[in-house]
Formats: sequence, structure tokens, C-alpha cells
Amino acid sequence: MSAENFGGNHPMFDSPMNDQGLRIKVIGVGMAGSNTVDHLRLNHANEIKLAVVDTDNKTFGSSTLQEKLLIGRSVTRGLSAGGEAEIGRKAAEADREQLTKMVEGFDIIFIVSGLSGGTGSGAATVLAEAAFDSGAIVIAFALLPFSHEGSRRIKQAEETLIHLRGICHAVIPLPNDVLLQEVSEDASVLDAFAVANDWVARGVQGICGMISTNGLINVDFATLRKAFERRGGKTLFGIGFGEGPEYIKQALASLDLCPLLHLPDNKYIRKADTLLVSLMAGTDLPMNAVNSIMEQLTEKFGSKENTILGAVIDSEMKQSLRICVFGTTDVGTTKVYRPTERIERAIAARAQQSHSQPSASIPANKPNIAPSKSPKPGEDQEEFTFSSNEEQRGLFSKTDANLHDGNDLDVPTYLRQGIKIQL
Amino acid sequence: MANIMAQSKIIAAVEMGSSKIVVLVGEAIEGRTVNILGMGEHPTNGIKKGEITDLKTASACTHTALLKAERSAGTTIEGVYLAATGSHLEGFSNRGIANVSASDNFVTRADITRAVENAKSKALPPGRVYVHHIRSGFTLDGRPVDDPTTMAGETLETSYWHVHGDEMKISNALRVINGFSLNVDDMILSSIASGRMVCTEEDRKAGVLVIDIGAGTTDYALYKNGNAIRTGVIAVGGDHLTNDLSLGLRINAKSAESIKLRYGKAEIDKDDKNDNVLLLGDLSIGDRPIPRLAIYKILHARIDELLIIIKNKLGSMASPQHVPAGVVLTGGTARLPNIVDAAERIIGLPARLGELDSAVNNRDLRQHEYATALGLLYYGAHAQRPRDERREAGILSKLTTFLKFN
Amino acid sequence: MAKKSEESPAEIQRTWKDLSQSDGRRVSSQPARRRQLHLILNIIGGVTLIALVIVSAWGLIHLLRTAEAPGNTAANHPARQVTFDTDGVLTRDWFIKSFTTVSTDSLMSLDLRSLKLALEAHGQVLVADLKVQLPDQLVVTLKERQPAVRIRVAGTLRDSYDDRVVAEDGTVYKGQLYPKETLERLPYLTGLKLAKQGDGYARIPGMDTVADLLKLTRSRLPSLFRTFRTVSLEKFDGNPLAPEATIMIGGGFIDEIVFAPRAFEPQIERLTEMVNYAVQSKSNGLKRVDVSFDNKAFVQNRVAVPKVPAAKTKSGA
Repeated sequence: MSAENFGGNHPMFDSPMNDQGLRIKVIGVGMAGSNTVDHLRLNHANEIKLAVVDTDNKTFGSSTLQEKLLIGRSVTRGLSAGGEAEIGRKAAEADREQLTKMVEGFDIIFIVSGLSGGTGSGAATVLAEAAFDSGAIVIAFALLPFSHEGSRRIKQAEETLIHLRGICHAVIPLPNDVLLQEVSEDASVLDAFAVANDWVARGVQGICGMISTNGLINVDFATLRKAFERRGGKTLFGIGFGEGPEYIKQALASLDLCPLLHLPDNKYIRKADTLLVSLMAGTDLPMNAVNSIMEQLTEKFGSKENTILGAVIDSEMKQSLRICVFGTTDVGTTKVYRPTERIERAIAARAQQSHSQPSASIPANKPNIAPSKSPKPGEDQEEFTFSSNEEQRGLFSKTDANLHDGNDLDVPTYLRQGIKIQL
Repeated sequence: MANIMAQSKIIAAVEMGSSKIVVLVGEAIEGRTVNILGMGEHPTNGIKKGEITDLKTASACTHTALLKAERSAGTTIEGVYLAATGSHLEGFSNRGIANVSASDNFVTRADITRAVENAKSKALPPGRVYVHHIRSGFTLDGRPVDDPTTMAGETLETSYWHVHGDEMKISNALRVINGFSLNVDDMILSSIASGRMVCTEEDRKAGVLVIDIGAGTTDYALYKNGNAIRTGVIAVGGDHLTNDLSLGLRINAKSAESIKLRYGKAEIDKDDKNDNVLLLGDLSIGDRPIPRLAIYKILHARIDELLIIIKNKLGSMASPQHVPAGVVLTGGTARLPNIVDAAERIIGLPARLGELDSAVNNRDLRQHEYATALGLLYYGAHAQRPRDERREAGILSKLTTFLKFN
Repeated sequence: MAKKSEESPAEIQRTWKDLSQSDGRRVSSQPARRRQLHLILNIIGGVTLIALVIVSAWGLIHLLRTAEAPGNTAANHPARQVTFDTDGVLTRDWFIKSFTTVSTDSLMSLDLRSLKLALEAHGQVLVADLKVQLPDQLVVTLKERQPAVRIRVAGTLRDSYDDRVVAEDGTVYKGQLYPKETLERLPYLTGLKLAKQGDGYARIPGMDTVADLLKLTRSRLPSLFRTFRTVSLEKFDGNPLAPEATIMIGGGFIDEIVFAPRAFEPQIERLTEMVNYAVQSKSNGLKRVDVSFDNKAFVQNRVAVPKVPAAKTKSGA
């Protein structure tokens, strides 16, 4: 295991690391993204760096985070991007250098962004490009607007999502319509945001938890990296939680009901090509239970050969289990991801900088052919026609949109109207 | 009756529905009676929301149904009457005005022709083709008249409801039938075909709104003075209810369909208890409780929305004074409990479930799902009628022997 | 029914009826293909049926037309004309006399097959071909067997005898209508036991060999052939390879010629030499010539010599 490679006696450098030496950063972009990151409650918060990026000064006023980056002062003069992705993009382009600095030297970059906003959609793509070029694994949480926010915003969000999928290793769409279903009936929109925060937190934790060394079974970074070989594909993401005497059964049932696994579109990608399973439980989790959980999950989501398991023991958890499944598919991808020359250099530089930084962080599949030109996001999108709304149409996902007054009638009415369905 | 054979033609009414394909084979005799010789049904694949999504699969399904129908009829189909549906079908109303030319102010045929041509003289954008020109009747100096010839007046006005559709989609439908070596003799809007069967001539004279809620589409037709003056297709049907349930309850489509049929309801009553119903109800593994209210809410939202869309499309035309006969619901989804109440509440008109014309002798066919196909046969029969007789056609009550099943 | 008006008058307004329904971009499917096959078969069946009906109707009309002719109908009157053709000697009269049914039964009720079998039961008839040619003709075409030799058999009366003819294939039959000269020129077959078979006699084995021999002799030595009187199958049972198998021919010029039942050419050559020699030496005849041994001929002279009228003139050829 790579933990041995580290030897545990390497000096910690100024970049934040968790106990495996991985440097992880969660960056919130735009108002929604910043808000989410601001409220992110992570178990190992000190090991994971948090940062926010926005064009709007106001956002930072309320933020308690240390690392804040105001971009596009020359473009927006410290005001919001006004919902225009183009402005957000210009603002980010203007300060690309700073963004690059922000992502430099990290192994995993999480981007949290609300795709309905101008900065959220415009700047997120630029940030993702910068992060990708730095050689990190880039995972984006994309908050999708409510149906009632209007077709213009939905369209912008769809376009950005497609764009992001072409850049990031994984994009996890979080449709607000669906998230709202999770809160109780009399909850406000603010509560819905709280739910979104929770989803992001659990996702970040799930992935990071897999790599941490206090795991019962842990995954080295190379393996993780391999799971993200391809980009542009669809991501399957779901979490489940159970507690009490039947906590394992409950956790599995709750995973089964996870709304993100029931985005209708996921029905077509039920079988993930690579599946990461992260379990978090107390010391009372029996090993044979792990096996049976794995069996059930692999049967449901993918093949055994391509499943990567990470299990974390948290001594504070008793009779409870948290499951996080994270799958990537080849659907929609056309190219195997190969680190570009520039990324190779970046990684190599980083390895030097951190002296004996283990080679584990260098992609295992080092290409023996000449590295190709840096893939432009656009190139990855060629065969990519899915859109976020597509994921809410189920039976009708392969048919023409059923537009009426700017609404797609194929999307369930209760979702569009924000009617909560209690299960 | 000696010349029956000479005037008859074996025609098939084909409805390519989103859940099943229905083919009725009939022999039209002198345009008065249709002998239904056979029928064929086949579950649909490759058709969603009334439109063909997979030409090959849809063809195979339709051809199977046609073959079954031919076998059951024991004869060869000679022509097809096809139901047209799909949200690509749109309509617009256009008036035509002609000043009565004769000095004595009596309307002549030439005046009528001019008015009609005037009303029809609207070209469509490329890629669109006309499906129907439905005349809403004539007015002479503002008074509605049945037949303006030999009446006196100054201004003759006629209005048409023109229905047009996407050329590609229509030709795809034609290709399916052509693939069976048959030609489409005529194409009739689903709503007009079923509208003919589920309400009476009196209803249509007085004013009635027929809503046919199928699996993939909802087709409606508003009748006034015996003519369809507005028609429309909304690509929402029973499949959407199923899909909504599947997503909302996080269950697969099959279970959702079963839940819809077992527990579905269009309205939420105050005294509905929020108890749980079982997903499968067979005590098997994987069964789980589902809150009853969740089902109702999902269906209620969808049905309400659908009816509101129809109401908005018709606007003031759907007011009680215009439509005294109210709303008549038909189609497979009309079987959803309480849907009549929902229609009354939202559209604000008295509503009822359509009843198939008692002229249909065969009880098995007197069901909503066959209304469209039966209506097609009706029109097929009338098209066989000699031209001069056609004008006085249309009173169903006369047709005592209309439609009988051999 | 004002629902649907007639076709739009202006051409620029396209309706669905302007869309081609026969542009060949059809989408076929298995049921469609099955139906097409069915329809094609139906059409073929229909055409065949119509053709059959036409043909039979034509035949019927033809029949009726002749039936309406005063006097008789082909259908229920005996054949008015019997066309008779043969490559042999039998005649139309013989046929009508032997098969009286032909003149009594109506043409339609004639059983051509049994008639053919009856004809072929006559040994003389090799193949009989019968055809009814409407309206009233019976066409009989025969192939007859050619007589090769005669054979004398026991007659029905005590001590009487009958002559039968043996064809080249060994069939024994009662020769009919042959000219007397033809029969008289045939040598008798001797030295064998005739096996009875049904009303007649069983085929004689080896007759083809004998016939070959006779044919060859007749063409090479016609004068000598005319003196032949008997052909003995005493030492030949039809198997030409049997040891000691010989065919013996008794005649006026040479009392006994012995042939081996195979490779007749060299034997005839040797015989020709002998005969030439005998004629040149003005011999009156020979008692025995045996040409059955390879490259050899045994000749026995006789004391009394009968007159050989033709041998002198023709044997040199």
C-alpha cells in the first residue's frame, strides 16, 4: 500500500495534506458554490482546503473562509456577473493566472458551482480547465437550477454541464428539483440549499475517505486516478445511510432510494465501468458484512473486476453505516484520458517540490506514445448530446423535447412545480 | 341490395398508438353500413408520444397488427385510414369572405367557391403539410347558415380550421403503412375520429369538447354547430403518469404502471388517508410500502397541468355558454378514477366519460381504446359513398345498422 | 359531413396527399414480407386458376361444338377414325379386329392404358403408343419386334406343331401378318427346351448373341445365309463365356458350322475364306466347318454335295 511508500516520516509541506499526503481542495464558484463550500462541514476539515471564487464582493463578506479569490474586477468591478455565463467566463479568463495558482499543487480538486449563475457557469469551466491542466483529478458538483427558474437559465446550465463534462474527470449533477424532494414539505428554499451542501459534503467525504489511511481497506491514489482515466462520461453518484440495529440493511435500502441514482438517465448507465464504493462505519462493522455489501453493490452497479472499495472506520460511529457509490461510465466519452506533456511536467515538478512525493500520484498508465496536444474541451464534446434535463425525462429521454411555454412536459410535473413527494 | 358488392371496399382503420396498435378491418357498404370483419392488436414499440421514434420497430409492430387483422378478417385489406396524432400537428383558423356577386343577392356556387378559396389561400412554411381543412360552417351577413346556396345576402363568410403537420413525421407514418404494400387512403385526426364515436350529433351541434387521453398523447376537439372548430394534440398521456410515478416513487416503469392501475387517482380528497400501499403486494422480496398520498400527488399534478394546458389553449371558447354539452373524456387514461371530477373542476364544464355509440353492435368493441379506430372506419365508410350523396350524410341516428360485427 | 373538405384548390398549399406513398423508401418487416409472399402466391394461384378455367372452358366449348354437330358426338360415340402407324407389318384392320372394343366403346370410355398393355402383351408389339385426338380420332403408333429365327413348338393337337417367331431379344411370339417369304427365310432354332410362361413362352436367353451372328453373316455372306436352316443352342445357354459354349448352324451348303458365341468378326472372316476356297475348288458343299477356335478352322468335306445356287455368284464379294 502506498501508505508504506510514504513511510509516514516525510515532512509535511506547506500545502495541506491528509494523512496519506494527498492534497485536496474544495473550491466554491459563484454565489451558490461559495455558499455551499462556506457551509461545508467536513469531518477532517483541517486536511481539506476550502476556497471560494466569485466576481461579487458581497459573497466574501459573509464567508468565513480564509482563501477567497475575487476575479474579474476589471470586468465586473466587483459586482455579480448578472447571470451571464459569458461575463463569468470573461472575468475568470482575466484572472486565469490567479486561478491557476489557486489549483496548483493539489491532487484532487473539487469544484462546487451553481450552474444557473453567471459566475457559477462561466468561471467554473475556466477553473476546471486550470485545475485539469495542473494535473489534479477534477471532480465537479454542479447544482442545476429549478425548473421554475426559466428556460434561459436551464439552457445555460445544460450547456455548461456539457462543457464541464468535457473538462472534468467527473461531474455530479445535483438538480435542485430533485434535491428539493428530499426536504420536508414545509421547508424553505434555504433548506434545499442546506440539502445541497449536505450532498456535496458527503460526496467529498466519501471520495476522500476512501484514500485515508485509517481505512479498514484503503485505496491508493494511483488506483483512484485510474478510475478517472476517462472524462466526458456520465457519473453515477449515490449515497445511503443507515443506523440502528439493522443499520446495514437500512443503509442499502436508503442507497436504493437515493434520488440521484434515480435520475431517470441513470437507468441507462446502471452499469458503471468503474465503480468506487466508500463505506464509513464504526468499529463494529463485521468484515463479512463488507463482503456482502460489496456483492450486492457490484451486482447492482457494475462488475466485480472494476470495483474499487474503500472502507473507513470511524470510532465515533456506532451501529451506523454510510455508503457512497461513485461510478464512471464510458457513455459519451470518446478518448482515453492521457496526461498531456504539460500535465506531466506539472506533476513531475510537484513531485520534486515535495521531495519524495510518491510516484503513486503519477498516472500509472504513462503513455509510451508521444503525448497528444492538450485536449480542448470542445473536442471531447463531439459525441456528447446529453443534457441535464435529459436526466429527468425517463421514458422519454430519447425523444424530442416536449416544450410548452418554456417547460419540458416530459419532466414530471411535480418536479417542475416543486411539489414534494414524501417517501 | 344487388349492387352491394360493386360498391364495397375492404378498408382498415389503423391507429398507431403509443401503447398499442389497433387495426380494424371493415367492409364499407354503400357508405351506410360497415361490416367489421376482423381486428388486430399489437403492443407498440418505437412509438412515443404518438410519434415514430424508431421506424423499423414501429413498422414491425404495425405490420404484425395488420397481419393479425387480415388473418382474423380472412381477407385482403385494400386501403388504410390512418389516425394522425403527435404534437407536431398544429392548427390555425382562417376566414374567407366573398361578396355575393349576383344582383339579386342570391348566393351562387361561385360565391361559395370564392369564399372557400379565400379561406384556404394560406401557404405553409417549408416542411409543413396540411392534414385537414375543417370547415366551421358559413355565415351569411353574420347569421350562421347550413347551406348558403339559394339564400339571399350580401357577404358570405366561411371559416376553416386548418391542421398541418411536420412533413417528415407524416411521411414516416405513411412509410410504415406503405411498407405493408398498402396505401393510406385518408388520414384523419385521432381526436376527430374518436369524437365522432363518443358523443352524439346533438352534442356536436350544441357544442362539446372531446378529450381523448391516450398513452402518449392527449388529443382534443372542440365541436360547435356540428363541426370541429378547434383541435389540438398535447404530447402528454398515460405514459407520463407512469414515468412521473417511476421517478417520484423511485421504482421501475413496470411497477409504476402497476401502481397507476391499482391505486391511481386524479384528485386528492380531504379524507384520503396517508396510509401505505405495497409496491408489489405479493409479499415478495423487494416489496416496499409506498405512501398513498405520494401517488395521488404525482398524478394529480400531472392531470391538473394537462387539463390546464387544454383550457388555456381554448381560452374563452371553452366557456359554458359555448360548450353546453360539456367535456367528454375518452381514451385509455380516461379510466383513471376521478379524472372526470378533475376535468369539471379545471375546465369548468360539466364532464362525463364518453360512451361509444350504441350503433356499434359488438360489445367488445364498445370500449374507449377502440373509439379512434371505429371513428376511422366510420369516415372510411363515408368516403365510399357516391359524391352526390355525401352532402346529406352525417346523421348517425339514421344509421341503425351501422357497424356490426360478423 | 362537412368535416373534411375536398382537395385544396391552390397548388402551393401542400397537403399530406402530396407526399409520395410509393417512393420505394419503404420500411419492410417480417410480417410485411410474409404478407407480400402470400399475395404473390395468391396472384400466381389466381393466374393458374384462371388459366385452367380458360383452358377447360375452351376444351368444353370445343366439345360442345362438336357435340352439337348433327349425328354424333365424339364424347359418346366410338372412334370414327383410327389412325394406325407401325414400323412393322401389323395393320389397322388387324388392330380393329383384335381389339373390338375400339369400335364399340365410346372414345371417352376407352381405357387407353389397358389397351396399350393388351397390345404390348402381343409379343410382336414392342411399344404401343395410343392417343386420343379430339374430336374423334384414336391414334395408334406401334413399334414391332423384328423376327430373328423361327421355332417349332408343340401344337394344341397331339403330334401337331406350330411355328413361332423369336425376336432378337429372345421373345417368342406368334408372328402375324408376316409375308410368307420373310418367315420361310428364317432358320429354325433347335436344341433347347422352351420354358412355358403364362400363355406363351419364356424369353430365350442368348438370342441377342445369336441375332448378332445371324446379322453379321447375312451382311457378309448373304448367299450362305440363305442356305441356313437351323440354329442350335444345344451348347449355348446364353452365357458367351461358358467353356465349350458354341452355336451351331445347320445349312444347305455347309451341314454344320460351329461358332464360338463371341468375337464373331474373325470367325466370319475365317468362314469366308473357307467358303471362298470351297467355291473356288468347285466344291458342292462342306460337311462341317468349325471356326470356334482362335486362328483356326476345321473343315470336313462331305461326300454328297447338294447344289448351291447362289454361293457361286456372290461368295467372292
